[in-house]
Amino acid sequence: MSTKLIVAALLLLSGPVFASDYVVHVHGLVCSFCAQGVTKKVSRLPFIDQSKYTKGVKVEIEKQKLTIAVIPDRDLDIPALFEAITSGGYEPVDIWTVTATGELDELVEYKP
Amino acid sequence: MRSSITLLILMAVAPASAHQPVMDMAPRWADGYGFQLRQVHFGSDDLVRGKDDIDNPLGIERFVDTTWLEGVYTFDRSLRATIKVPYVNQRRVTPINGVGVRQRSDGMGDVILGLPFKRYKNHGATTQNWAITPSIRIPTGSSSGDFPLSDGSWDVGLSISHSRETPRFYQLYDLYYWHEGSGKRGMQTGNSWGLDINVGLHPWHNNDNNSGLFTLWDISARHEDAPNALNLTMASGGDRVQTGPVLMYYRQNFMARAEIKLVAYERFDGIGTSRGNEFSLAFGLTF
Repeated sequence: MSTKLIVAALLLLSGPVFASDYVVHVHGLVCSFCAQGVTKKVSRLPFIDQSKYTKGVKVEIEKQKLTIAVIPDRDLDIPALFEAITSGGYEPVDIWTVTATGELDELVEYKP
Repeated sequence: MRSSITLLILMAVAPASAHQPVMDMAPRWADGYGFQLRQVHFGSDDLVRGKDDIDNPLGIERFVDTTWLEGVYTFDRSLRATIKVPYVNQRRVTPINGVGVRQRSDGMGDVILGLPFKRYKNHGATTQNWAITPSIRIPTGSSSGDFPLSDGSWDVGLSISHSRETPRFYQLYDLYYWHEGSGKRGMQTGNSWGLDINVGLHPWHNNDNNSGLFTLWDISARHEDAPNALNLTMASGGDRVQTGPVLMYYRQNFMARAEIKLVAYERFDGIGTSRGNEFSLAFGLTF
């Protein structure tokens, strides 16, 4: 029993809780009421983990920041993601991986 | 004198803005659509000659309630189509042969179709857009009776607007013009133009459930050419400036909006009933 608990705790600590999150900086993402368009478009993508945030998407209008949750073991399709954001009415700028504490980690190389 | 009162009291002030505010902020996403139900009330028993209040011994008055069902579809963020369908309930006391006669009418008013073309610019923490909106007003309202809902004309409008928004502030400038066609029964409403200015503050927003409050201050200035002598609708000639606060609450895809407009300046081409204070309440959904 105690072994199972330790294993479970280790899995939680070392598991991909934030490893599958990404942050996209989006120019112009300041309009709160119309930010739902980005959520609507992005949440439909097949690699988005809809169990987190609001259908897999969190919008922070003060920072023009879009956080997405990607299903573990699924590939992130950046062109599709950026196209969804553009279709939602805004301009994606760059995309970052996120650390376990939720901070920006590494810039993902991508040229639209 | 009596005939001029008779003539001009018959002319009220029509809300004829070419601006299509049907969820102007949303939807800005491709294949988005929305609906809004908006109730507007205005009217008064204040009689005005030129810019001055005058005695009203006959109890001349006019009150109008309009329920607007409005819809919008966004093809992509640069092109939308809008429709506004009014249901009008209006009543007035008008002088006929020296006596104040009560008249009333209700029914569907003139439907307005708009085609907003928008060009967005997004810079970091700012988004702004320019919009050109051609509109057409279809004479779906009845032009019969003593107090018709429509003059029966096809009218065309054009608006040019600019809005700019940051997470905290919002501003909108909208200049519009309506050209009135020839109506039925010889009625001819005057052309009109105006300027709407909205300045807003965004005091509260919750990122977790995308809800918050918007507060706006609205200023509307409008000029309308005098209608002809045969016009029996609410049309009037003159200038008017209205101003007042707007409060908007939103949560996810739901929006509620309340607005009060007070008359700050009013001038008639003769004698008319003041538009009075205006109240509107709206509920909208976007998808």
